[in-house]
Amino acid sequence: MGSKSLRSYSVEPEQGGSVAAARLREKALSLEPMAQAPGALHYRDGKKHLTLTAKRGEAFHLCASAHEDYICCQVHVLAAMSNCPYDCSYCFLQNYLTDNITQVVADTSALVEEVHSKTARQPERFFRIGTWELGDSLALESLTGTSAELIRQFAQMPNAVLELKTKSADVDSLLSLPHKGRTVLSWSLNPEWVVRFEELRTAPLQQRLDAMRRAAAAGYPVAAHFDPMVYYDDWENGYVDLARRLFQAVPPERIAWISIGSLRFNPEMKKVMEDNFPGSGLTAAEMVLGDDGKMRYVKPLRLKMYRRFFAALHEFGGQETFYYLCMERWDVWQRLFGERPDSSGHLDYLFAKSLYERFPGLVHLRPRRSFYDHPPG
Amino acid sequence: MQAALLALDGVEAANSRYRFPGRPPVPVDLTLLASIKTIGLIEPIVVHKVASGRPHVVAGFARYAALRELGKTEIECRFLPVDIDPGDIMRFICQAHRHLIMESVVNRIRFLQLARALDVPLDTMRDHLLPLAGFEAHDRVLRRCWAVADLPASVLWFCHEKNFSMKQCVHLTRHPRELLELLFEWRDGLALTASVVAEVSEHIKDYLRASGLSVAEFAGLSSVRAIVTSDQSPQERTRDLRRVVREMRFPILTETHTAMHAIKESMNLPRELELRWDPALEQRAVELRIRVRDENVWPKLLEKLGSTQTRQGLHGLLERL
Repeated sequence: MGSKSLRSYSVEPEQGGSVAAARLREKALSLEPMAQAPGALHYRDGKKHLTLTAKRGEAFHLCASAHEDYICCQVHVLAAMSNCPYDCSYCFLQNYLTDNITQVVADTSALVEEVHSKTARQPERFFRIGTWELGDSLALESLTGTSAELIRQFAQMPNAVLELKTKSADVDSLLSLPHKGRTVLSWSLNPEWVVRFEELRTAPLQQRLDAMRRAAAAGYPVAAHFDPMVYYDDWENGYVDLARRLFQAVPPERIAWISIGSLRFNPEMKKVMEDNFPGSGLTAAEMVLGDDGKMRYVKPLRLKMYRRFFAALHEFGGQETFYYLCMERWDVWQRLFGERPDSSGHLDYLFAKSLYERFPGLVHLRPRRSFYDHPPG
Repeated sequence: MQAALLALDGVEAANSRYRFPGRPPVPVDLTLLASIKTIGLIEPIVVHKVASGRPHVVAGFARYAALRELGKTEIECRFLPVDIDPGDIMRFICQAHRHLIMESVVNRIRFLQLARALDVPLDTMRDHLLPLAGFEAHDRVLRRCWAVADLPASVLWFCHEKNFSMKQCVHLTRHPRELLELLFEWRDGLALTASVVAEVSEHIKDYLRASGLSVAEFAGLSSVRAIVTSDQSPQERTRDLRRVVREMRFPILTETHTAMHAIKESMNLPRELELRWDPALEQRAVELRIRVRDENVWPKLLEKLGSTQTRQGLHGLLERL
């Protein structure tokens, strides 16, 4: 579904012999092949051209959302792609990318080599590594097959788990891979209304949930990200319905983690969103500027939404699930969960501990708090 | 350049196609008037004769107005070549009216508007006239200029008077035209500054989007009508309008702050103790400031700080943060 926005593709010369390039040539018959990527494009036009590239510079780093007033989960990100064929009204990429061309790194071995060398420096620590920072992990998988390559290679990784986060339903090519449970397939989920009006070109909610069910049945740990939660007229019914349908689709014991976060963006992006999506009312909600320079719903509203949704998740089967808030304040954690991690390192440890206890064999060592007290490399 | 003495009535000034759009007629410059009266017109005006009809003034509108005021019937003119390229005319105009053009962003844009009215080709406009007007040579900049040029005349004039930056002008283009027209319809009764216009229009725009109200429905709200029809001073009306609009835009914040202020009142703090909290309600902390001018009040302050009433009040405030 995501690849439907594409019109053309190109392959950097040194990636011409890659597996991804061969697959792309075979699968992208309806796309115009081009010798090289077009020049600087508008954000939306960049979604129409896919280029396969080499890895450039350091691709593996700590998620950039860390801020001292907010708890960060210390996930690592692997820059395996940039830009995305989907068109979500709230997507920060529309105000972030300098090169708007949709890019996928074809040389997955180079990516994994960097991950290997960096995770080996802290062998006692367990790393969660996502490829979704600048794009959707699976939106272009049918054309490139690069995530399948990463899944195969992460199956051999001693102290890390790969997280592929998506709004697609395109997982069938991954189901029979030898993943050894070392890849978490995760979905970004929102109520039907949000999917229909704010997450353009993405897979419908039920298709995502069905894909999640198939992934869980194939032995993958799965995860759900309710981030951003969006305030709209019928938000309460929408999110309660979503919680119910999640646990109808997936047994709670297969869910590695659930994240919750609210809509946020920097003030400059408000204008960009209003220009790119004049019909969207998202930026008209009651929002304030947080200490990290991002606009968010006012705290009483955030708490109201989190509490209602969290109660629904509990009600429909998520009592034992591992939950966390993304880019949220300490006191919001305390009020929602009745407790909070002492530090971002502590949260990182709690992740490892939960996975160690709930997914036997995934985490290589019994996690100790001291492993996670110093910042990850 | 060809020169000739022409009848004043034979030269088009008021409706010259080279007049900046949106600018009022050139007023008579009394200094210039006195000079011409004493020593006569030294520099002929510059005109361009379009295919048919009278020649149009290109440069010399003030001199033309002064001569007419003095009751003269003729004026010395220099003619631009009939087949001159419109881009070259614009370069000449830029040179002749540089001071006026560079006076404000709005005037720089009016200069480009004039070029557009003269059918100057797009690439000439972008590559030559944008830099002449002090802008970056880019299509994006040109699009922004046209968006600003399309603002209601009253808004453009305000932007010119207040010497708005390009960013401030562009920001106004993001608001519904009817909203800007409404705000400037109220202008005489309000004390509008650049920041007030930006704040109020942004809040109203977002409120309209959130509530689904039209601009007309907003203008008809009793709380709004009461302000704009009140007999208060413009400063007081502006203050009240800002407050009402803020309350509409931030109902949850307003309600929470109202409840917190009620708690603060119930704490009966002496004036030496000042309570503050984050207006955005993000930080869960209350700041207590003590201002002492007389050390004898200190025991009383300590007693107040340690009281159950103060603790309960602080608890109530923190509960809402």
